[in-house]
Amino acid sequence: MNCEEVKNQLLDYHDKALDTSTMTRIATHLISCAPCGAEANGLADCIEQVAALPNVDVPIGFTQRVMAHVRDMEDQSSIRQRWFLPWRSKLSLPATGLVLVGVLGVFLYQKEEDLKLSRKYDSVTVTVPVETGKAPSESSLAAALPSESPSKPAPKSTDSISQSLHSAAAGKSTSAKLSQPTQTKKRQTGARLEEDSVAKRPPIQVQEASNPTESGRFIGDAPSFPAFLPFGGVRHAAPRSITMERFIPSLGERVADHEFIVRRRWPQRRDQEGSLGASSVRRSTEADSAANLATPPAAPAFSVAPKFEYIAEIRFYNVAPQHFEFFKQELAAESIIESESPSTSKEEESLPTDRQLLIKVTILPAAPPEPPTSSR
Amino acid sequence: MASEAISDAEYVHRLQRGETDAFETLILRHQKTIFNLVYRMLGDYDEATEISQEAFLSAYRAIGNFRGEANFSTWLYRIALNHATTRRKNLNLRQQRNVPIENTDPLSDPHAGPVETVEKNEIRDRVQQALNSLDPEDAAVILLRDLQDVPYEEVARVLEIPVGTVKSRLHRARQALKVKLAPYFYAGRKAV
Repeated sequence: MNCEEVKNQLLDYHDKALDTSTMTRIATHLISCAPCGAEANGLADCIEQVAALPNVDVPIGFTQRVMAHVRDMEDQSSIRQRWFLPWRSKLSLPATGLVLVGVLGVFLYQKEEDLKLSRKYDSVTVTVPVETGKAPSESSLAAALPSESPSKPAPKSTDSISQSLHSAAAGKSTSAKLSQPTQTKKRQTGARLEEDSVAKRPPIQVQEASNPTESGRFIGDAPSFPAFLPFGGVRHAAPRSITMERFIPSLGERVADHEFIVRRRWPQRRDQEGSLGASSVRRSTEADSAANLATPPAAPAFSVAPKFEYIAEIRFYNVAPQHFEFFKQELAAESIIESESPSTSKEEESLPTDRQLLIKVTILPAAPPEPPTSSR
Repeated sequence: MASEAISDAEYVHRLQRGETDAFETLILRHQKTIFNLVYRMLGDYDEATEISQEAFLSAYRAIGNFRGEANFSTWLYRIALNHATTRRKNLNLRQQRNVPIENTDPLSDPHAGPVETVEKNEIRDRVQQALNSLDPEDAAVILLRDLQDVPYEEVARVLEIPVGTVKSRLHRARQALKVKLAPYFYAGRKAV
């Protein structure tokens, strides 16, 4: 065995990992070969010295310090896991944020849709006060009411909405309503009326929105009077000075299925108790003189001397499709229909049948009676 | 003890399930081995304390990645040597910054005189200095094989090199160490 072979096997020789015969041959060579012998002895000493290095004691409290750090890390990770998914989850923080944003967006969209629907059938009435005894002038009308573009009777019109329910009530200063020129008018209001149980006419499902005090007067106050229309129920304005009031539209747009422009029938003298009740209205026409109106009508119980002959208003009514014709008849009985839209011929085509109809009624004040020489 | 009957693999499994206290048992089992290995790699007691602690904490953080394909001790050795090698490269090993450690070997000769004790301490210092001067890879393989008596196969797994490479590297490291220690130890010794 030569020196090169011995040197290559010295590692296994020191580990005693060789077979007996090889071990003997290497040992024999190391004895006879001084350099290989010195090499082998030097390596053996190194191994022995390294192995003889003493063990060092671990610092006191080493385990406790390590475990203290471990528990600190554990507390921090548990806080993160309360807010996010476990570390094994693959859901990242950005993905979680995107999901939350999406859910919030859907929720807000649904809320917005609900708000739109809730506003659809709110109703308001525009009131423009006027001095008692004076007919509203055109200028005062124009000044009192916000100008609006002429409305189209199409159900999809997008007129602005006026607001404010009737504030007339006992004890309040009168808020007379100024008439508004037909061609400039375009407010949308809604009104609710309860169905009347009067035997004279079948009840009409209408809805009118007004303040609670007024709406009550529409309902059941006068069995003989249809709790029908604005004329009947309203306005028991006190004969006092009227303050100017103006209401700014604040609600959303309304879309009326049909629109009427009507004029009140001239009522009785204002110093007599009376109302624009149905019976009195039916008996009176535009040609009636003031003397005729002095006859007290069969006023409904709720009626007080109406002072709304100068009051114009716009109201909305929700009417069932099957009651539309009757509504129109009653409107004609109560007032003078000056115009309506859409035209009758188109009405049946355009009016929906699967929901209540939104009817817009612009009520103009009664025209003062002309001198006896002028009739109608 | 009952805890000695439970293998490292079982404690690792418990730790991965969230039983933090299982890690304390693992520390107690391996702290002496790891600490001594790191100390001999760095030659400094304070440095060894810090690096050993970091090695265990690194093992805790990475315990989820331990698949059990190798022994826990093998995996722990690897982490400890990586930390020690990184720190060793940043230290000036030619200057020992700490006092030598007292001999705590229970097998040391209690009857040795003071001269012999001083000589032994001097020899240990020389050996430590020689180890400090080796390449980190050579020092690691010598300490694992000759100090810790780790089998060649496990050394290969720790260092992630083939067994043949371990043997050749070990032979080279021993040669280098012999050269550094030759002026102090071997003089006229007979071959074994």
